[in-house]
Amino acid sequence: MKHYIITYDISDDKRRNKIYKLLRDYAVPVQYSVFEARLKDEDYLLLRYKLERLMKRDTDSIIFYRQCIRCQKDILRLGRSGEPFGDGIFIL
Amino acid sequence: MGSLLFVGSKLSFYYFHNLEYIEKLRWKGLMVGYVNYEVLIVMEMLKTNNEHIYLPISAIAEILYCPRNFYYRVVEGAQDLNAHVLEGRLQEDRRNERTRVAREGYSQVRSVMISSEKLRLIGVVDVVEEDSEIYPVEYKKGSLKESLSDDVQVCAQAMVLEEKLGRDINRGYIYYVQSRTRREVVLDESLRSLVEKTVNRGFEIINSGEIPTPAADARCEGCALARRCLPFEVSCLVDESRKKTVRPIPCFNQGRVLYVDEPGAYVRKKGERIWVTKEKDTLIDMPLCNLEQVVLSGTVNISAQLIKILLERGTEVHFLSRGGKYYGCLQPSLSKNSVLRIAQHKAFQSNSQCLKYAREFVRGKLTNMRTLLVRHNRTQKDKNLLLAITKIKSMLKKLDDITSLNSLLGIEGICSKEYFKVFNCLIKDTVPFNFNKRNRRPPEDPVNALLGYGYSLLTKDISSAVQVVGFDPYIGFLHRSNYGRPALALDLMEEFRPIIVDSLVLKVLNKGVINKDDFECQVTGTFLNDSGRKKFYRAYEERRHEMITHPIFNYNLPYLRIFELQARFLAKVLQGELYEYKPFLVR
Repeated sequence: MKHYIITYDISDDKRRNKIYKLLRDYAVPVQYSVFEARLKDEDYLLLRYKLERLMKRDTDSIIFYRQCIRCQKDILRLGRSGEPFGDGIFIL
Repeated sequence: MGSLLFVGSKLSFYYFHNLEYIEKLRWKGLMVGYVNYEVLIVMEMLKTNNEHIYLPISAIAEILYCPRNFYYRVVEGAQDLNAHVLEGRLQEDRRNERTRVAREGYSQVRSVMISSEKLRLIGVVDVVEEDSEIYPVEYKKGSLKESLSDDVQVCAQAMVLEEKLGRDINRGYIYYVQSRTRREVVLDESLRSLVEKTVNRGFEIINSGEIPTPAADARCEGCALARRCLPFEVSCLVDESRKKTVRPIPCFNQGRVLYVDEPGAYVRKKGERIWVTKEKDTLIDMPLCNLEQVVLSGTVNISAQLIKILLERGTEVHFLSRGGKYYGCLQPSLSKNSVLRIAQHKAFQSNSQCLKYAREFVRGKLTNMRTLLVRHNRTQKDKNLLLAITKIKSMLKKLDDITSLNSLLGIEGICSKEYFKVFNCLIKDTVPFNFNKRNRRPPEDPVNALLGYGYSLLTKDISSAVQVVGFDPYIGFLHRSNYGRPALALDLMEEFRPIIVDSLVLKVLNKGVINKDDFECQVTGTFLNDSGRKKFYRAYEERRHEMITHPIFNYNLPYLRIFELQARFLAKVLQGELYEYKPFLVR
């Protein structure tokens, strides 16, 4: 499991919408055009593959920042923002 | 007949490399239950007649690398996938989408499916290229290296192509994606004879049905099958001198678990996410990736679309009642490991085999019961406890002389009685709970309610472990399969009852995690209420994820992995790879 911060910059509205929807299947939107996720290697590969198919390489940009476990603890969240789903259990 | 085997086994993966097609195929396997039954028949027929069986070319290359890998992929139909395998497939998919020809002046055809009747091989050539001569090109994910198994794969492809085209092929190429280099392979006589030898060896492995010994070296690092194969553990159990080499399988993922215990909640799919609503409120909206288990308790609705996608991904869905009854789970199609099921049924038919395994399950249970009592007795120093401990110990000695299942059950009964007689001593006096005797359906007091609920939760995890490994959960050795209960899961569960559930119940009671307000008394019995159940789920999950040092292999792993490990060992014993089943005993 690795922690990623994913940011994107996409000019076309339609394509941005599609990419947004795809990212939501893997990650949590924490701010406008910023996502965070904890992904297995397999899921990371699949997400990357799907993104590559949707995006247009010459105009769009998507960046994955990987974070080590140590740096994750140093994340400071001020004010209103989303938070990625951790591991473990969810009880409703 | 040959084609049936393809549908049911791993061969389909070698056959159709397109990702979408694999998805479809997997889904077909889910719905068409009989496919696996046919494979079962095919497997039996293999021993007498395997004329129509074709081996995948990529599997041939694997024989040279690791014969055990070949066995699992072809005979047991393993479809295990890890990041390395997935990346290779994705690369192939990307290649196939490309329309531009990479090398000018050459004609290229991608993903050519070929088969040979002479060699009885089938496979896909990544690229067939033609200039003045024609030759196959095989793509490999890594960087440039000399590898005999890759050479054999290309040579086999060339030989099959020769047979199809009727032309001589003198060379082939391997393209290494990472280093972007091609390596030429000259197809001389010695390589060709090696291919034939390897194909024969493949059929020998299939016919003998014996599992090749594990490699247990650097090759096992990053192998997708390591979880099934357990190379280091098996070689340690077979040969004590290799004990030091045992390493845990690196970074297995402990996925998320979602409990929904909210009457009237609706669990549905949204994109590839799980979305739980109640009336108009969203309770959770979570990506499906890395979701390991969904547990639904009480009246919760789940949509068919979500069920479908969860089955497809192999995520388990368990159903519990609010009173703690385990209804069962949604099960993806039966595992392809028909060889194991045949072995299980054979063992079930033999009384001595049944007794052999049943004895170990009981031994596990009694030893762990005793350990639990001993642990508590260290601080409590109670006379009654000591008496129960010695009684269980004396009974344990008798286990080896047992000759019938009934006397085994007798011993188990006596010990359980002794154990539950002193169980009340383990609950602190400061806590307002008492335990008189074990009762159920329905439980009469809070402690019994907790025990019953805990056992249900444990049943859920053990039965999924049993199914992941590929057993038939309804054929058990200690619990006979009379009442349509998951008998094998109940068998394997015995050794975990005291250490997982009993000690957990004591913990939550003694530490005051669960108190009097968490129960509701009805006319018929005592049950956990909403808040109590939620507290107990959390406590149980924490226990399940608790890390423990393995008594034999000395590495740390969580209990949930130990459930699976035990089931895998039982499978290896049934398939004749290990001699005896050793129950999991804590110290």
